[in-house]
Amino acid sequence: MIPVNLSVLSSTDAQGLISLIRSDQNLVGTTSPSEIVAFIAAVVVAYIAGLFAAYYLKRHFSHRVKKDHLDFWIRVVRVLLVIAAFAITVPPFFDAGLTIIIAILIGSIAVLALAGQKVIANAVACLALMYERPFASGDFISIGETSGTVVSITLFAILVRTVHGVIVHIPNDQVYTTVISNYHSHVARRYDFEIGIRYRDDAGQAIGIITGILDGYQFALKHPAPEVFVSDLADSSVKIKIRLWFPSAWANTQDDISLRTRILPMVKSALEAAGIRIPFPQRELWFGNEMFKKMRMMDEK
Amino acid sequence: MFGRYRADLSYSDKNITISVESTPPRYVRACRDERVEKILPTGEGSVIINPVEPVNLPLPITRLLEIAFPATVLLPKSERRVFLTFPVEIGVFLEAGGDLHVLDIFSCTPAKYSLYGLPGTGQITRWHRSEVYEKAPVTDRFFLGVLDLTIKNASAETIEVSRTVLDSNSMHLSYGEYVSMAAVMEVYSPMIARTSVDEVPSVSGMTPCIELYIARRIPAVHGRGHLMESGVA
Repeated sequence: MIPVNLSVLSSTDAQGLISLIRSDQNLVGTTSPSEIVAFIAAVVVAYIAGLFAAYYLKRHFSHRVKKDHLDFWIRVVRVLLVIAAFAITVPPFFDAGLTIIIAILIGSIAVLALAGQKVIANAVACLALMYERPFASGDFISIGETSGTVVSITLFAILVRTVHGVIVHIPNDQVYTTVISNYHSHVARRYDFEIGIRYRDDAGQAIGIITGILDGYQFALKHPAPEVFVSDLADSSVKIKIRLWFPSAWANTQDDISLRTRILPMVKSALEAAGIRIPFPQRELWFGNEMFKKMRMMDEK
Repeated sequence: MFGRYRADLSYSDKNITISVESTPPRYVRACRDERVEKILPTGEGSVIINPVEPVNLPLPITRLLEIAFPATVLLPKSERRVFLTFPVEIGVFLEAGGDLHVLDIFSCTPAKYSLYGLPGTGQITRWHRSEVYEKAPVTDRFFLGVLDLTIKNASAETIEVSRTVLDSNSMHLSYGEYVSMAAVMEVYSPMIARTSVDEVPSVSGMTPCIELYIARRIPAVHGRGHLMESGVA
């Protein structure tokens, strides 16, 4: 049992504490007041140094490194500084050899591992996500049934802001074991849509009009060039397929809404201005002459 | 219109209208169906208008300018000087109290984006198509600038070059009768080339521009240029 020196602990006034530190009597076990002061001072210095390090890193790297990665490394630096402060000042507290300290550490880790398997799984998944980088802060992603923009990646979960403004908290281990779709990881994405015109309309003219619109539209990439072609001769219309590439950074959403709201109205207006119509679903019925003859004969009888 | 103004400014042509008034302090600009109006601070200060790196509009989603031009054939270990055009973007800065604030950026030239390389590994570029000229072409300096490009074929094979990609973080523009930029493109193979923009304009008497990376205090990468790794044709 560690002997506690109660007589020195009862010194509550400032003068008494100063004299206690100067006398360097053992306070708890073999720990002297100067060692405790050194410990507290080291932790405070480590904390302040961490703040300065964070300020320095943000100032010099915020325009080069993505925010979540920078936040992660700032956290790592701050934790390392505190660990260093502990490593320097804590060992004198123990009147024991290094082997015993290591044994205590391993035991503590084992207990923590058993008590917080889920927490550790999330932390390990965070490291795996940091290493593999399937997405970054600001990317639009789909994880399971959740779609939205990644707000931040923390040690235990990622925060996703859906298009409805709801923040969804997804545990890292769940993220790591689920199919992830990232709509922002490549610099360009393809958008496909189909439009139907009447059979009597000139498909070549329609293709020319649509190609002209895409050529003049700034966000339809020049290369890879847009593709516009007749894709199907359907029941009610001639189908024209349009494939175009656009910068992911511009339309960073799952439903490509920025593109739809601009391209589709322009295409419709231009086709209608050229007299080309988008037909309703329709079916023409033909009656054979034999049937009419039989009906007339029956009427005459 | 380009220059530094301490007093009132009023400029208008069929495409651009700019006015800076001191009482009340106000900045108004109209160009291509877009109008911008800003209330300026009172006191000392000046407004600077000059061309800036042409990659900011309509959105700052790239820092690369890609210029496509008719294929130019270069023999091994040879070089050729050509003149191309590039789109002009105009920056308006407010200089006061030792600070340079970007007041406005606009352009009379329609923008177009492209992908240099593959979707997975490539880069989005601001795309522009140019003819190849033997000498600096006559351009409207509010629409098109002139790129003085020296293409060097450092390889041991004949190479066709039909595009160049420049990094805006090391661009140096200047203006006089026209907006000018001088660059060197060193071609190592049909797939790889390095481009770098000269710090000194190729024509004397030009006024150097204040670039956006200076106003925004973004460190420029001088001398390194941009490595084109997805082909030169």
